[in-house]
Amino acid sequence: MDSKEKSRLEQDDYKIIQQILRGDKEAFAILVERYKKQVFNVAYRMTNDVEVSMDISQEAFVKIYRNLEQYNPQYKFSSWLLKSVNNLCVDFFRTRKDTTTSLDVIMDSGAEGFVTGRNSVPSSAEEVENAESRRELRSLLKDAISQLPLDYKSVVVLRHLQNLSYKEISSILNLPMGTIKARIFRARKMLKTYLEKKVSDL
Amino acid sequence: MNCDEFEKLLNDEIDNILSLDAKPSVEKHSEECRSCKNTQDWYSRIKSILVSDEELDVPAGFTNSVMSQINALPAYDAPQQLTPFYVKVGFALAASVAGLAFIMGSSDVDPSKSLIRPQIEMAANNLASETMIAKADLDLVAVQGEVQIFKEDSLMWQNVSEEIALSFSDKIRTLSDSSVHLKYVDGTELKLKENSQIQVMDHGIRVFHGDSWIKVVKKGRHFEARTPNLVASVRGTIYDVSVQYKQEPYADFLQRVTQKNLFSGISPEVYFREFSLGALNEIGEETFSNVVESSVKVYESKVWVGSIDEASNGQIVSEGHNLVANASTENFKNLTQSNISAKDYSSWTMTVPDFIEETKSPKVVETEASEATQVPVQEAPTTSGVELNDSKEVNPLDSFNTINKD
Repeated sequence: MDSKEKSRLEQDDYKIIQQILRGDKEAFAILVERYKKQVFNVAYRMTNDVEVSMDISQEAFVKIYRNLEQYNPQYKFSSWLLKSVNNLCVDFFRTRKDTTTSLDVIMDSGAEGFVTGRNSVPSSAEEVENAESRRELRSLLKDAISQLPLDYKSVVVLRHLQNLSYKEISSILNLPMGTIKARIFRARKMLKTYLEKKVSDL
Repeated sequence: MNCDEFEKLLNDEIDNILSLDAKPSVEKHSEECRSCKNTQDWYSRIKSILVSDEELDVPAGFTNSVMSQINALPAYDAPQQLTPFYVKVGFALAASVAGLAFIMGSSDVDPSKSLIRPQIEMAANNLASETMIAKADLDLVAVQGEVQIFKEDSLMWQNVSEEIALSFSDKIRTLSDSSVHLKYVDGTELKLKENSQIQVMDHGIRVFHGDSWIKVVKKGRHFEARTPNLVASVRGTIYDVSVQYKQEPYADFLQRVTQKNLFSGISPEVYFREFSLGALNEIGEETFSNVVESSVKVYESKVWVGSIDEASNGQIVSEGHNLVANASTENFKNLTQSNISAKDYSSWTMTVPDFIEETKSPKVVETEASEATQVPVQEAPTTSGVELNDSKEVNPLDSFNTINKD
């Protein structure tokens, strides 16, 4: 989708919102159809659980409807929606606190290599290509992401899986761009460290 | 180029934002350093896998399921509910069309003719036209000493010596022995003492550091001052908002911040100096709410004060005359900027009741948007981390007499 089409879509979103605010509930279905895939996939990447993602996605849309009056068109509707999804995911993890620290532990145990980012014995690119099929690496990466601390997980999901810009991520997470950048920087390091370790363990 | 510099630029390369100038040196380093080459390969591989990852299809019946829940909720009915919402629209449209460049009105505009009202009516009639642009908002009218402005597009602090028009998101700071006087076209005034920093927002200001004095002249005017851990929202009021850094030795600071790995190419010394000045860069904001103490002092009329605490969810927790509300940072240890969601912000700003009729009794805010518990006046200050005390009689103008231009 080029940027022109995107901005047309944003204007259209806004028209639909105005329509809903004038009492046309059914128009909300257009927004649901338009964004359900993105919403669902973000929730899924964050939680790794189809059922939970369904619940979160539905709840996100219902919440958005209830708060629609407060939509500020200075921001993209999709950003607002994803912000709601992200908040719900944060709530979800908060209620079950067990899940998001493991990668930190891995980092700490290999702290030296992590701190400098270079001292660990590297698995060379070729080695990886030969030893691991891309599919297996993909599945390792999925595990790695699921174990990232939540703050880092959300930036990776939004940056790479949704291909959003720093600016968009910044407005979704309510954080300055510098912070987003620093988190992505660190998240990549974590993913790399995790994968290197897993690959060399194999 | 050393390996640290390489890694920083490598991230830019992966994100396709590496400058052309830097490209050759990145390539050169990667050829020379096996370890960095390896990192580079890993990063590109991670990216390529993630980008090519296929999206899941949404399970069937999703839209119907959402819509059945929506249908159980009441429909919106225009236009009464829309009015507060559209206040923002006017500004937002103006901002997007005019590229954040606001044409300022002269400072002698009759304050009784608010420029906000016509915008509301136009927006309610769905006239999202260009006639809504060019609404004056805030002027910087008097400067004493060294005052600087940070505009987003200029990326650096620049000295200000004369009257200028401000845009949303502009940051203003005063250095030592300096002060500045700002005035909205409706007469609302702001004054900053020395070593202060604020940011202009569409709904008021963010106070980063220092003391700001605020006089909201018009009833029905919505204005809020937001510190990292407090929100003060008013109609027709004079009040102070103050943010002070906790004193912290440089060594402690260094250890704490280094652990968090927050530096991105800035030396800790520079960071600390900027931090102490309140000249926070973007990265600094992350640790912000943990190291500041904010307070609001009310001189006249009423101010609603809420903590930006997750437990109270930005709710109004107190109301009254001559009170001081302090947000002790101890209560906000785990608070990060990400906890301050749009929901908190909007439920706060949109639900402040109209102060046109000044009742003495405690008010409870009606809000459907936020499902958090409503906290009536003067209850639960301790649980919310906000303490209320009687303040001494102070003339808020005392310290600003020197910069009266008018």
